[in-house]
Amino acid sequence: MHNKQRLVFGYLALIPAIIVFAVFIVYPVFNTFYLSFCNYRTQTIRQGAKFIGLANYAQMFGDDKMWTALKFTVLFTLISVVLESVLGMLCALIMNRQGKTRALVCAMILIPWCIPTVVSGLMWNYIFAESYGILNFLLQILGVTSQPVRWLTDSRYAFLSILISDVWKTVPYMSLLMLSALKTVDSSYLEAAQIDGANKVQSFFKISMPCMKPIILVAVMFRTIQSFRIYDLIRVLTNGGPQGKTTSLTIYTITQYTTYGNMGYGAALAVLTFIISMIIAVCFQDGVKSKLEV
Amino acid sequence: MQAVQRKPGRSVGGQIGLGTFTVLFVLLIVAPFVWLLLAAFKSGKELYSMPVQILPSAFNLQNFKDAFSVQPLLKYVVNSIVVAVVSTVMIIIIASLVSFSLARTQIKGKRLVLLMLLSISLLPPVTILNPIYLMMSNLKMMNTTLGLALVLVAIELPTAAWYLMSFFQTIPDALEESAMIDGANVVTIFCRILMPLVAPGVFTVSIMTFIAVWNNYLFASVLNPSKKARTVTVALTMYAGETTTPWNTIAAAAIVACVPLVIMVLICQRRIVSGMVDGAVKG
Amino acid sequence: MKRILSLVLCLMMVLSLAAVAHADDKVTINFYCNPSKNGGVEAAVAAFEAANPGIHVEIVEFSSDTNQKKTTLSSIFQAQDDSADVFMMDCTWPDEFISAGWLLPLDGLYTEEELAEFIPGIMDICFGADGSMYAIPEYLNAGVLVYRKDLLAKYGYEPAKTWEELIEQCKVIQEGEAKEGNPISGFTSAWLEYEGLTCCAFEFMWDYGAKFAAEGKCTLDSAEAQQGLAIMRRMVEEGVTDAGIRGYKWADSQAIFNAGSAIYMRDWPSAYKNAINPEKSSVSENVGVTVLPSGTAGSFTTNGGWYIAVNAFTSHAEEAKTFAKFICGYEGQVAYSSKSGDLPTRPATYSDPAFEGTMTAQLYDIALTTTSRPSSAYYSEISAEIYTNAALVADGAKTPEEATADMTKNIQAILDR
Repeated sequence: MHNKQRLVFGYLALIPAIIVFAVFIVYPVFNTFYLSFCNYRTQTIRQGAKFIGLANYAQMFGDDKMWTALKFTVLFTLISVVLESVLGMLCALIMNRQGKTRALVCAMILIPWCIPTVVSGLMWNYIFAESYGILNFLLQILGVTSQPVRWLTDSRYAFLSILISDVWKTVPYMSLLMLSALKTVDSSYLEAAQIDGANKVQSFFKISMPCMKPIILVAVMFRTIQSFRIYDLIRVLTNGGPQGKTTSLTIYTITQYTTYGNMGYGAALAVLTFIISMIIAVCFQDGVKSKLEV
Repeated sequence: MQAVQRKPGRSVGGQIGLGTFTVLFVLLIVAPFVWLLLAAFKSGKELYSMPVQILPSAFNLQNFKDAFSVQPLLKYVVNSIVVAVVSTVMIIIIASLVSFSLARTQIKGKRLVLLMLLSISLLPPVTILNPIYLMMSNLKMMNTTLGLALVLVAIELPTAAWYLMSFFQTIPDALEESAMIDGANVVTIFCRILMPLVAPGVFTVSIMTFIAVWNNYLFASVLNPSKKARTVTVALTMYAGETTTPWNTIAAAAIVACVPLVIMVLICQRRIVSGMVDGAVKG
Repeated sequence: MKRILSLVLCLMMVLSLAAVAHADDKVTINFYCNPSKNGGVEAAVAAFEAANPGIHVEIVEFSSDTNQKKTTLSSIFQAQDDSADVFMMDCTWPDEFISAGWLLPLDGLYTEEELAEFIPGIMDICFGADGSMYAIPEYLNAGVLVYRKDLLAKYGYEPAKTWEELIEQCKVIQEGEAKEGNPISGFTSAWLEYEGLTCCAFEFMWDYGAKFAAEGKCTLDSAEAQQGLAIMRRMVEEGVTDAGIRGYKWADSQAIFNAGSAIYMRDWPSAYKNAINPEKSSVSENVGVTVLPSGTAGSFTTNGGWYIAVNAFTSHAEEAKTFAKFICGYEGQVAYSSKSGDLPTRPATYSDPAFEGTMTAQLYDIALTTTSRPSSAYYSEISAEIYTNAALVADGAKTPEEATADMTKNIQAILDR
């Protein structure tokens, strides 16, 4: 719809967002990029930020701990996003069913998301605790295990524990998005399909999914980016242990930045995270691109 | 628009099976929260007893009383509500405008705007903390609910904008075209036609944004450290000492902190789930 | 829609008005401190304000997370902000903060005699390389050994004086209790890979004569340090330590002991306080406390204390210094410690009537002998080396020799920066 008025409105509508961006973001983002090329630590902060070119990046690529963190983060992101998307869709389908108890079911499914991550982490700590945790207690009663499982301190289980807590917290988020996506599907199409003899599964995949595509793509994109940047949950549960095996890239970044005060190196790590996240976004965006050129 | 009728071939057994699955699934999801709830009623001893004691010996409210007496929890809840409401309203307004512009107009440079918006979310917040702190400090907006709300607008805006944009994309062009033929200008189309159509999307994004702002920890703790402006999420970490963690009090405080969120979700989910959109889209 | 908008705008205006603090003719200084323990900070502040009517102290609490405290302070200092005037500092931060130029020099605040009134072993950290004083010790924490009186009495033991003795006692008691169908752990503490483990590891290494560094060279690659780490591994191997010890922070370890599942616990005095509290502990009547067991070189305990410092960018330097001196002074420490249970840093206070009959008086000897962890601007990284390697030794993944070699090499690299 080509229309001058529309075009003007389109540009004007961008202004508030651009103001927000200019005020709050431009300087901090550029500052971080600049610092990544500097030697800037709290210990030598009085000497200011010394420009050292790509030295931080060279150090980063030679840093084993960074590669370990990167591998962990990639693996975790892949598994958690797939799990959360599938389970989210499943929940959305449950929430979409008609029925008297729907409101209650919906509310209950959304509860995990309402709990602040700080509390959620503490809660899972309490559940996964080796001696007084309810999970080990139940497993022993049910006869599944004879020895207490070291959920958070055994490298075999730590990954799983973090995955469980993350999935638990995020499935409501995904299901809500998927549900609203389901609601945008025109039911007349579904009716037509049903009359033509398609069963539920077929109409779901052939009709509903294509209609929901833009929303699902954005949801999965954001979820991937957020998962890649996981920090709070791991911090409270395992703090990157045991022996650094559950350290995500962001945990490593913040450890360098805050705990060690090495802000130049931390900034370089942050830029790495930024670039990878941007690549993820661009990949997904290409999927949405076709819809953008209306 | 009525619900699609169940096909006659579907057996009662199938429905019971599905129902049971749903019940089990939902119970599994709610179980950890129930455990938290029980912890809020237990005394320090019962919390860590071995073997694990499932039910508290008495449902006394001591932990809740402690939660309110150790810290002014109610004030914190109010602060959180104010910050979250102001942020969410501002974000929805700005994001709706941006996403309409990106999804339904022919402006140039869309990709740039999208990526610009996204760049905010891609850096670990701690790296942009210091410049923002400096700015807030210079503006004398530290320890104010408004200041925090504004900062969180910047932080949570991208997600809201991207999602709303995808909701806008689901509306067929035919609707707008017919409205334009009827002589409506773009502002009217935006306010009277498009916004109501993406209403479930707006409610969804509102809940998401509200919860994200409510749960924000880093900026809330650094920008609003004083008691008068503290938010409840930050306050939850104040109960622990250096070497002791009164888990039962924290659990009680956490329950209190969740209540407004759960209420909000209950109210809003009806608007989303009730399917206001059905039928309207066909035109 | 328009009405909602105008309502929101009104709300925002009201809020911004509410945000403006109303003026006061007193000077207000902000004191950033740890979360209040039983009103300790409030008591000390009240005493100060009574003695100094022209100054009002605003208490701003940190979260309990040490990293978060550091983030908050770091932001304040990097912005050269004056919002924190006086603040509490963990004993491992002074070097870093001093080298960053974030602390106001406190020269002239104390005379030589006044400085001697503090416990000597903890004063080194207060001074920077330039000889100026930057911090004042407010309270300390010393590691103690908490034990089950009833179990030791049942088997005819006195609290262990050495680690070897502790191991033998535990093995006997654990076997005996297991036979009665009451399996129990011998020793519990916080051996999770974090600062707590560094405290414990240092204690073990010091107990066997290890020294951290001499003349700028890290000397941990020694037989003494290896012995210290070896005893940790021995405790795990022989089943003396609790099964989950490598996952515990202090609170978890206390939970185990308070539920009656351990014979000995190494923790801070506040843990003893919890253990004898019937509301928190199932074994409250059977708990005793004593000095930590010794190795071949004696018994050492890590200082987990907190110091007071003044922000270099404060706009109320005089008032801030006055407050800092008061809260670390005799009256301030008595007011604070009598409520919070933390240990004062002035020997004279221990005989104050306020502490009579309390645990504080009991711990006087222990308090005098606490040892500080090494001070360095890069302490966090050094600590990470120590706890990572100690954890690997405890898990049996590295021998003590390998661990001390790696540790020393990496720490030396840090010290050489």
